[in-house]
Amino acid sequence: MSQRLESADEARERLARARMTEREHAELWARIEDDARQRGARRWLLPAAIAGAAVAAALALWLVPSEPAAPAAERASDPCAVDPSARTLRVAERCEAKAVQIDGDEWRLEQGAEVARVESGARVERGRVRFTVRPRKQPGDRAFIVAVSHAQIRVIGTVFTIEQRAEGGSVHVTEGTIELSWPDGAKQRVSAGESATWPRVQPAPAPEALAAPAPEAHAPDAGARRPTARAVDLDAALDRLLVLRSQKRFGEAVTLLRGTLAQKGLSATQRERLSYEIGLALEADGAPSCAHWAKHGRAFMSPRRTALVQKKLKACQRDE
Amino acid sequence: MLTPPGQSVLEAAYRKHSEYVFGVCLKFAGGDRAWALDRAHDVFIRLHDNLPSLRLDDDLRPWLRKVAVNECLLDLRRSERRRRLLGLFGFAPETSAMNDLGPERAHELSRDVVALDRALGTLPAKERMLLGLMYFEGESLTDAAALIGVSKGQASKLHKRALEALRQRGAWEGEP
Repeated sequence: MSQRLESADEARERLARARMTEREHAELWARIEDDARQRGARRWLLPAAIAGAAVAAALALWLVPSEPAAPAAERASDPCAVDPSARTLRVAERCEAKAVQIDGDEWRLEQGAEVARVESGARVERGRVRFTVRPRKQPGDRAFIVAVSHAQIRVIGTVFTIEQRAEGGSVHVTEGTIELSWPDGAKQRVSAGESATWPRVQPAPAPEALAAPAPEAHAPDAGARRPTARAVDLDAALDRLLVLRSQKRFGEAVTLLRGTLAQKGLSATQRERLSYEIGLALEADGAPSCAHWAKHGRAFMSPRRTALVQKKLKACQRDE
Repeated sequence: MLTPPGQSVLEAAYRKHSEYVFGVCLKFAGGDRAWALDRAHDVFIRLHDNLPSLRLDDDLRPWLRKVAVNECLLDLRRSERRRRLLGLFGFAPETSAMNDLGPERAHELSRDVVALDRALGTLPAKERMLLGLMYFEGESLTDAAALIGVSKGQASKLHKRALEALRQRGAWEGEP
């Protein structure tokens, strides 16, 4: 097979169509926000400390003999104030973000966000909300649960940001781990540095001929209803694979590859390539790969690959 | 803590321009989306640092584009220096996104067209940026040279050398 270099026009057109996924958006903004906050804090630390000390000294001199002010009256006069005891907390679009303390947790509502307090925790109605949840370690402590439009999020003690839009949303975890519960009972863990989006996109399970022996650890959605096949976008899948590999998220890479492999319309060579990548991702993840390599060998007996696959098979049999 | 006005301006700028900045960075990424996302992150952090001195009524895109090109070039040159240093000490050099695929796996891709941006990813930093600016961003040789900080004559040499390298790799991409 011969290959040619893509023309500049083709590449320009392809690159112009490239867009960030929702997950990439959520992760990127969370990183920018965190770094900007840290830099902002560093930049203003010294001047703020000096100014704060001066203001505190002046206030101490001026306020000591006077009567204490009434905070409730101040709150009533501030149209942007958020009452932590209210059933529904909201920050208007024209107001700045507000952080409130509720039962030892911090809820930071960005502009336009709305959260309802419910018995189990919170329900994000819309907008972006960052939760800093204290660890639930004492006897009798109940897990903090956040409801969103398409799932529930169970928290033990962590920091995470939820963005709820009309059609769906996303969560990005900064510290700790959360557990997403989908309406069909499936659960998905999201750890620090990772994100998840809803509604859920379910990868299709791999065909029988190429199913690996222990997919449960990598494909939490296996066994869930099979989605309808969509057009194959091998380029996008391989691009995503590069990202997952660079972040060492091999379990997700296996799920992605199996989903892509289950699509219709793939050529034999493309199927071989995807199956080969599944084997590599299983190996990188430390998962059993022998059964996969054996099936791969049987399915794709190209002479060019046979020696390589035999080598892989021998190596994994030695390891397992 | 961020000042509230700064935060809202940064967020508004992110919402408006993040896809554009990502698109610019992706053109020099050699097919590595994660790298393009990292550079987009760097650009918005630079924006955050420069908010007090920027005229926010003006269109931010030209400024963001210039910063994006600078950040991409800086990072590519950092990687090159690191590779050279590792080479001096006898370590295997880092691989680019294209080399990472390896000839075996590049073949298995079974694409009859090799992505041009991935091929550019195998070139040295300045050549990669120059061709990216000229072929993906539509810059003239003179403007591309100014953006990456070389003379027109030097840019012309880089251009010629890069095309020759691509031609050689074109032969390599074919059937082994």
